[in-house]
Amino acid sequence: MSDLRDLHVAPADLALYVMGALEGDRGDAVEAHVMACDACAQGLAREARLEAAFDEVARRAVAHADVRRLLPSIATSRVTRRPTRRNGRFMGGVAGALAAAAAIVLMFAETSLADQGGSTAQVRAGAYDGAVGDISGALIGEVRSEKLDGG
Amino acid sequence: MALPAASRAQPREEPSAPARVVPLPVRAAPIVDDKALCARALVGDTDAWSALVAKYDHRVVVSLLARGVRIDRAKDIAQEAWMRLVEQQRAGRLTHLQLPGLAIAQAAFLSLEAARRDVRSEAMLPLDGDGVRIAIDLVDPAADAEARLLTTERIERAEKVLSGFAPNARAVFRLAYGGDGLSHADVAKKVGLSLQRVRQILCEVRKELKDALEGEGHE
Repeated sequence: MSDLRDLHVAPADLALYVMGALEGDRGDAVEAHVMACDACAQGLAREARLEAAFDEVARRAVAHADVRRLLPSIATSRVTRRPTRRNGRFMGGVAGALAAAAAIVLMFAETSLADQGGSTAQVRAGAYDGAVGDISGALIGEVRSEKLDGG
Repeated sequence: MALPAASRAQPREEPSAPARVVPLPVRAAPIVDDKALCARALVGDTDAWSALVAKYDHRVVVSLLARGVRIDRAKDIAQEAWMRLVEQQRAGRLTHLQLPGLAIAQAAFLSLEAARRDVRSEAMLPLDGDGVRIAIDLVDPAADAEARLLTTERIERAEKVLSGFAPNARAVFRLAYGGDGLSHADVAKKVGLSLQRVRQILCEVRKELKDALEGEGHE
């Protein structure tokens, strides 16, 4: 390291520099050298990019560890399993009811527009919006009431 | 310590002339909870700002080096980024402070601005002998979808390599990198190892992960 003007910085020192582990004169020497040496400046940039990648690796490792910690409790939880089954059945029924209701609303709207002389396309658009709004409102009401009933 | 002269109890004080934010010496930087430090900085505590600068300035500089910014320029931009944050806080426009992310983002913005300025001033100069102008590449390589995919693959590979390390080595790595980003001294204190041992572990893990990240991916 003493002859930095002639020699390149050791890769290990570039790594230590970006890690913040090269303090004092050695850090200053690296900085002075990379100012004048393109090869070492590129090496330093590469080490710096690795630091960013390590951050990402650590974040992902922490996130995955958190998920793994949570999974067993979710899988064995009676409280979370039962409503899931019920919700599955309930949502299946709701989906069917929603489709049937939309079809009925659409059919009535088309008939009524045909009576008034409007185009089918206009009716489909308008009726769909209204139907979805109405049914969504009803659905939310139903879900709320079930939650209240079921606890 | 030459932070702009603001007292602790006067967060909305009129902005004074810009001054340089000088990090406290490392040994003087107190090991304080980041949230508490940021909360104090948000009400204009200059000591808190100095401690945050001391703690995170190097990471901001390294983030700029990763973008290919020269080291002297990187240091200047990092300094300017901290100044901007202090000014924002004094103007009452800083409602939360998440570091080092905010400082890194500010520095990245400033470096792009500087590069754009360079391109504009280059555009004012006459063309060189061959009539060819060398443009500064402003395109972020990570923006390319293929490069992103490759990066993701490599990071997944590195994550797999990390999972092969002993639990204490993984703990040291997770504390030093990622969201926590503790200083090596703080990591040592937290896991009950010497600073030297922590750095030794980090160097070992780093070497393996570097191979995984820079390799071609043939498993």
